[in-house]
Amino acid sequence: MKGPLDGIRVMDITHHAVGPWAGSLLGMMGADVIKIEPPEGDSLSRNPPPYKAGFGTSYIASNVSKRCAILDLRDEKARQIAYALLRTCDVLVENHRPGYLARRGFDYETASKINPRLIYCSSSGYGSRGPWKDMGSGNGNGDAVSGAASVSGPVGGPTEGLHGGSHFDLNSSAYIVTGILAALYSRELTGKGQKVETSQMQMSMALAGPRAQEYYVSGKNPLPMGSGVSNIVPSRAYKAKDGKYVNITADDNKTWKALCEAFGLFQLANDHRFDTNPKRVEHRDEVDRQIEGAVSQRTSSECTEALESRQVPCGVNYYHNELKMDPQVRQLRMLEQIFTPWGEVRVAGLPWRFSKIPGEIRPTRKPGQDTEEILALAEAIAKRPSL
Amino acid sequence: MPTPMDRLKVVDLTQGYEGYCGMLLAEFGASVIKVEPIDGDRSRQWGPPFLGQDSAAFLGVNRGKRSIALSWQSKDDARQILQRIILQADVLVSNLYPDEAESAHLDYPSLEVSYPALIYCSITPYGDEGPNRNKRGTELEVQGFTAQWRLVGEHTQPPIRVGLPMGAVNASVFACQGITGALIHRIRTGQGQKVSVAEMGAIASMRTLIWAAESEPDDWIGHTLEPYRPPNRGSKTKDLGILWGFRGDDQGLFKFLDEVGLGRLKNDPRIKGRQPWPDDLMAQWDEATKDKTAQEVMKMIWKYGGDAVPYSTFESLSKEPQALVMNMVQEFHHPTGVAVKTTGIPWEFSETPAVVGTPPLLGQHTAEILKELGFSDSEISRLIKEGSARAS
Repeated sequence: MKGPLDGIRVMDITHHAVGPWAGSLLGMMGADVIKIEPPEGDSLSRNPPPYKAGFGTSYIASNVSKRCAILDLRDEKARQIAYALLRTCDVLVENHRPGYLARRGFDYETASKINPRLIYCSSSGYGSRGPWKDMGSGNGNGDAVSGAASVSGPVGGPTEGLHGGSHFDLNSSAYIVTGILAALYSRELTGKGQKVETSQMQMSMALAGPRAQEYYVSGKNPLPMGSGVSNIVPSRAYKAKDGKYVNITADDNKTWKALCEAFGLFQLANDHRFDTNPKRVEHRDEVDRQIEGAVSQRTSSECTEALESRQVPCGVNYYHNELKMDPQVRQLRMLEQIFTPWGEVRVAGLPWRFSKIPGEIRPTRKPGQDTEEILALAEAIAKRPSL
Repeated sequence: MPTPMDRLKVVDLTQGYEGYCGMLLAEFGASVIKVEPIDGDRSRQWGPPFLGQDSAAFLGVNRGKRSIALSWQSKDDARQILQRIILQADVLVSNLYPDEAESAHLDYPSLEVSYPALIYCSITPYGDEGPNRNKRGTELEVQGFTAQWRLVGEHTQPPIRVGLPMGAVNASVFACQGITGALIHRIRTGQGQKVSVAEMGAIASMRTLIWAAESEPDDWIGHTLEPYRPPNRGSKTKDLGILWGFRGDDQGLFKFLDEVGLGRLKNDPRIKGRQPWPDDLMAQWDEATKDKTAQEVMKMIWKYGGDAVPYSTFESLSKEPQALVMNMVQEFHHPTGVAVKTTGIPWEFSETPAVVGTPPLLGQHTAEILKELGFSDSEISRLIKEGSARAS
């Protein structure tokens, strides 16, 4: 396995998107991730559409870089096989409903007795206790309940959550991995495993934390501001002569001056009413009016050329196909083609680049494709009681 | 109690919301020194709202760090102090653009020479390699670049942004896990390395389900493929919107509809479909719930076994029982003496808990850190007098 986690083994008893993609991230970092699926499989493979060769594309994307064995943990014999495997695992990750793993003999108490060095990570919808502990969650729930949806929308509202994508599910996957790795690092120093618990609600709240802090400091909910934002001015989309919107931000005083100079607004650059961010926020409408005036007289290319030459953050909005074709995206391999049992599929590339041992994306395997290999592995482990 | 990253030493050179990465490490127990320019991290100015001299934006991503303010960009003696701080640390986190890092000799090749075990983490908007590695960008531009504006707002209206610093925070989460992975590798091999995270890559990686859906599927159906969907606002009530469902339990759904005054809809198959319902049904919903609060309606849903959550505001969330039970509303004491609530830490570690820290004033620890490096009191005074360092 190529990556910083080479030599680490993960037992992945997850389903849907949140859990599996966390396992995939660990696999992309070079860990040997073994997904254990029940005979009925992971329902994400059946729903929702679309499908490729009859198999859910969301499943394919959420389960890269793993091996996959089918073991029915309700069956005593299969459970013993999984226990043997567990002895050589460093991490167990799961995201099932409360009680699911316990009924299969894989709760933390049991697992940690078999392997005291195990990092056991459980993720639920809202937490393992409290009035919502048994409630189901989903991508939209994370967006809504965390307050994230309260800060997006046109100026003056109404507020709205994201209406596409699965950001809150995969955000949770990323946070899960961060927590697991912190515990794994700790274990290198203490020699001890531990349980790590988290939930989609908590992880979504964490993502929204920097905006929530505005409420906690001021007692007022931050409001949606269209393409703008309440605490930095200017940082907004402005319409150019050719009808395109240009995103422009000046988030410190040096950049503000550069922006003014780029547009020939020399008096503005020296106007004391606008020489700090808080003052620009106070005079938002006037700042916007000045910039709107300058931008509307130029094409979007003229704007970005002038601003970029002075290192002012700016850009036009891409559509998805433009994003995919961008040279930066291509060079950094932000998108990968993988050759799976269902055909060629495009998935996201590695989110990090390690300079020494890069990590890699391995094609998704069919459920049960590795059952025989895993059974043989478990058998070999069982024969060595010293492990 | 021990913490996950006791004894780890980190230098955080970031400014802006990318400070989130260093905050995660600090709350995992690492000792994090935030090295700020002499006038401070520019995000200290990103307000109102402010607490004293510091914006809420700054406070929210800088808990648990110590702050030293140095004129490292302009003065040689200050830059040498920065170099020394880096050499005694395990990890450097930076969001300098490649050209800025190179001209200050703070790029990875320069540091690797004298310090091969260093873990160097670079967070940039577009990546630290490639033709546009030095292109300036903040949250708004990164969202524009990654077509994030396509997933929010109405297509007949001007483009809007997602009101979260998602590029910076998501990149920081990936950066933190990348750093930790690199540290685990270093324990085994002694080898340091660079970990690079691009904010546009962090956002784009979380579109993996959409990219896969577009890969010549059997049929072009599924919500991941719809070119446009209207904004998600949930179902209205007197106060907050709610997101609710019965997950196929028709009996529970019917009982709820009866109780909320929509029993006449039970025969309409569309009530079992994806929300939001068609306009005519939503109009009936709105009428039935306009005098009922979100809490009242959700209680009915929960009573009959359904799931429901509110479209929270941060204010409603700060009082939400589930959030409080899970310790997601915590507090720190700002150095000015004010107690401030803050968002809690999303993981519970059974053996080595992470702990919410306090954000530093600008240069609050300048003297302390210089002393640790071996400077005498008079040397410290001179550095401050000459503008190479600043203490609050």
